Amino acid sequence: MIIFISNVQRMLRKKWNLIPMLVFPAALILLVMWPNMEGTRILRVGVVDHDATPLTQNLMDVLQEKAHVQKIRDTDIQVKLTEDLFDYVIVIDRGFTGKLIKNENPMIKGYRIQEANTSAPVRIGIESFINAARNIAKVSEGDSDKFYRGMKDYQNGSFAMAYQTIEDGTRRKRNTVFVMGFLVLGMLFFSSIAATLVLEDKQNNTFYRLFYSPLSLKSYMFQHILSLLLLSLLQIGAIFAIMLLVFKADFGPSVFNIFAVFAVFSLVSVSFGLAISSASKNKRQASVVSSLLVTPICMLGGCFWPREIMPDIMIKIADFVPTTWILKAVEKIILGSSLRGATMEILILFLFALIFFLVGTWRRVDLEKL
Amino acid sequence: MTVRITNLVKRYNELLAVDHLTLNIDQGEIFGLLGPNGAGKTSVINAIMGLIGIDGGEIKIFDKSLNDFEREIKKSIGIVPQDIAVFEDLTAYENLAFFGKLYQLRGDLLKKRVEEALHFTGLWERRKEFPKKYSGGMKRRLNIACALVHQPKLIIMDEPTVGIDPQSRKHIIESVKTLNQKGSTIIYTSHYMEEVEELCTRIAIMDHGRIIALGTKEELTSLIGLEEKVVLGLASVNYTLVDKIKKVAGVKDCVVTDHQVTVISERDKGNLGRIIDCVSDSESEVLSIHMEKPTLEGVFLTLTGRSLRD
Repeated sequence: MIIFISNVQRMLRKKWNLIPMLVFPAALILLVMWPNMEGTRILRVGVVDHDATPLTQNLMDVLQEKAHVQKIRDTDIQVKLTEDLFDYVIVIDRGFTGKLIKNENPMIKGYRIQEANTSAPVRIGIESFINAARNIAKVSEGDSDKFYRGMKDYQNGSFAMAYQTIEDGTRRKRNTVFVMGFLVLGMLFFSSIAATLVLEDKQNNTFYRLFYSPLSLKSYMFQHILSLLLLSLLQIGAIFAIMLLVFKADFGPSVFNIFAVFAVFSLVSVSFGLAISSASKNKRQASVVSSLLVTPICMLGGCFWPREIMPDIMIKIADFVPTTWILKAVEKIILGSSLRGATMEILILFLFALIFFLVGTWRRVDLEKL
Repeated sequence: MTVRITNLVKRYNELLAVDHLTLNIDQGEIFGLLGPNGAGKTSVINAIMGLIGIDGGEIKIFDKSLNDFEREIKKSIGIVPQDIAVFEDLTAYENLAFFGKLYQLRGDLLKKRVEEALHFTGLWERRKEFPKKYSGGMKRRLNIACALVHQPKLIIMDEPTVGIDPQSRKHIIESVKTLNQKGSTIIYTSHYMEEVEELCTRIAIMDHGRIIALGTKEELTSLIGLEEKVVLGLASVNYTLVDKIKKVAGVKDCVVTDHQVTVISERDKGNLGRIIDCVSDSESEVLSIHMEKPTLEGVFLTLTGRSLRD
């Protein structure tokens, strides 16, 4: 695997390669996401728990997954909200759990300082939890042990739970979809540059020298493509990390699914890079060709603006570029669809990868030019 | 036998690049391969390296068919390409380590071989530098080191001294001799006839895809003549002197132009001293002496009709 290791080392060693790989997409993402940073911060929820039962504790644990939760006293509610120390405060009255198990209809009081959408996820989360608890209470018929067993099953995931999008979350997710377009742009640019390593090696004759050794052309190509894929996956991983850790981006129900879709797109971008390097005589030409192709492909695909604002004819043409399909797949998954729900988009991406790969490799490397 | 080529044929469309070439190179030889541009040298080298398909004939290296044992054979061959082929973005050490790994060297053995190759080419002190900081001569030496790192039994050097300073050329020539003394067989191509004359035990001259002459330097020079020429610059010339010179044993002709006497004599008769005695006897004075013996350059020119550097 000497070619694989060497290619990765050589690409990462050149600091200017980090510009298309990380700096460029990260800078664009920063430009778009910075104004929305406020909207992406973690919600702060205060809880006045007069009941203090395992159920109320469970509720706080569930909230903790989406928000920063802190117990407070009744007297602090007004101050904490007016001083903007909390976005939302809930009050659980004494006897809440008992009433719920007895199939009564106890309520949780909620306080907020303004009619902001930011508290919607918490409210919906509480509502969802309490609804589930009510349903379990119904079948428990007042039996506390049965109720808690049911709740335990619920929390372990034995109960199916549909993901619901809410207004504020949707906006954030659409924002994430939008900035994903910049990652797509960065991937295509970086792969185009990385693939030209072969051209660089041909220019300085090392490419031909490799085959004086026992290395075969097949092995070389395999390792070369593998190294490009790894670099592409590193790029995705790094940008995802930046988006998650710095911008607190909302990737919807599964970051893994989004990563998986981008991993499929990395096949497209690497094959695209191979096609460009195969069609170009030298690095400079490859650079020009990639610039001429990547920008319009990204424009058509909706990397810079929503596809919907384009004329119908352009939207139809956009179906013939891979960027359209990656962003469609990303949009679906971020807004709650499973990978299976994006099967068509993923299959089309595979098709694009195959086409680019064939274009990139049909011209046999002519060692006889030596 | 290190290399045995039998009836090798290589065509590029209509062009017959190698025309039924047969060639044997023994173990321990420094074999010179000469020929004008387009003679077919590179095609032969690439065929030996298995880089091009051949249209006929057979190549055996280390008594194994290249067709059947290409990967195994390649492990024991090192090639110094004519164009410098090193990675500009790797240091000299990393370049050698890379090529060493291509030949399956690993761990301590790899380190040892890299160190040896860098010492051998005089680059150890500058091993951490990138080739772009090297002079032309140093790049050439690195180009050679990359071919030697796996200590091949057969080394093919294609114009290894093109465009370098005399000091680096001397270093490379001495290195070739040392490698040969250590047991490597070397195939050497060069445009510098003096290098070939100094280094090679046998020389083949190629033209139009065929070997048109093959032998030791002496055997080749004997092909084009059995005479040598002495040109004397004299203070004064008279016909008595010319008659005396003509009477010297082995002298075939003596021609006078102004103050210059050109003497044609049989090769290796050692009669220069007798000619100078004639000049002294005639009370003239020798101002200059120039001897012309048949050279490889002359052989090449005669056989191919072109100068080696054309």
